Amino acid sequence: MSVLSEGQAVAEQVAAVKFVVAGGFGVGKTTFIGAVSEVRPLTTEAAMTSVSDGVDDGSMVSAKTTTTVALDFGRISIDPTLILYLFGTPGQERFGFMWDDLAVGAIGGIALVDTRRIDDSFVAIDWFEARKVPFIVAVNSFDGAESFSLEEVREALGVPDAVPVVACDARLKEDVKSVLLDLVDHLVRNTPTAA
Amino acid sequence: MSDEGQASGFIRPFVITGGRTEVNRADLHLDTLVSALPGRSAAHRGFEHRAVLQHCVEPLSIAEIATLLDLPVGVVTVVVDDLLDDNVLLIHRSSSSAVSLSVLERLVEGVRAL
Repeated sequence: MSVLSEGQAVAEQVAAVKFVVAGGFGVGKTTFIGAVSEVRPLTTEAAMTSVSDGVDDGSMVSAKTTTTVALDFGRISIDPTLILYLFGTPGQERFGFMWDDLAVGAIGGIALVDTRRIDDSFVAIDWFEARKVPFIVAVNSFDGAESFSLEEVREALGVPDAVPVVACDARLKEDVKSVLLDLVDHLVRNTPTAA
Repeated sequence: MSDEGQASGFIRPFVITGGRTEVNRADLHLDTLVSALPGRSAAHRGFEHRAVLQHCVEPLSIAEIATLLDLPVGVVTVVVDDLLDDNVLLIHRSSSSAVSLSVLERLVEGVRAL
């Protein structure tokens, strides 16, 4: 029965794992995700409830109680029963409150850094540390004008030696693959061998 | 209704969800995978419910469904919650932050093969 095999395939449990790609606005998160995603980077709108619930205040220009945030993500089918999702954080800091939802179940993170705007990276790094999401730092040297050594970047960011700092060009698939493998290596080192 | 006359052609999210804004399940996240159980239908539900079910012939995350159907994540979450109540969707085990070495090894192989 052909229906049976189809039914079995549907009923098979498929697992998803999630990496979060964080960084400042315009640092190249969408490019990074797009370089390896098997689908074009998908963008969806996540409705976020705002702090103010009042809708009766006539003085308000807008009585909206929610705001929508564009959310980038990519998908990599690892094997028939494992899917890797890459979620990009919304770039603007004012949407930081929605990162908590992204953290749920995230097994690893990539802090994408632009050395011209290194200050933008602290939010991402602090967030990974506070949420205890293991992460690595990837310096996106997309314009070829990279003038800082990785050690200088590490010092500027104040990340501990245990956190790998690597360079990449977010436009290049092989570079992004290499960053993902560096992150998995980092996760392996942080996984107890005895279950 | 004070909303009448605004944005004709735009279906307000609460119409799709039947007024519901909260879901019963705590385990529905952006990366939660669901797939349609074979032979089930959502004929008694609205257009969006049927569309979600039709798209889920393969496991899809809530984020992907939202993108494919151009609906807000919050709306898709409620619709998926309904379909799980109806026993027409299967929820796949959610990812865990305590990931095993074997999963990491599969990730290495999968990423290398890209």
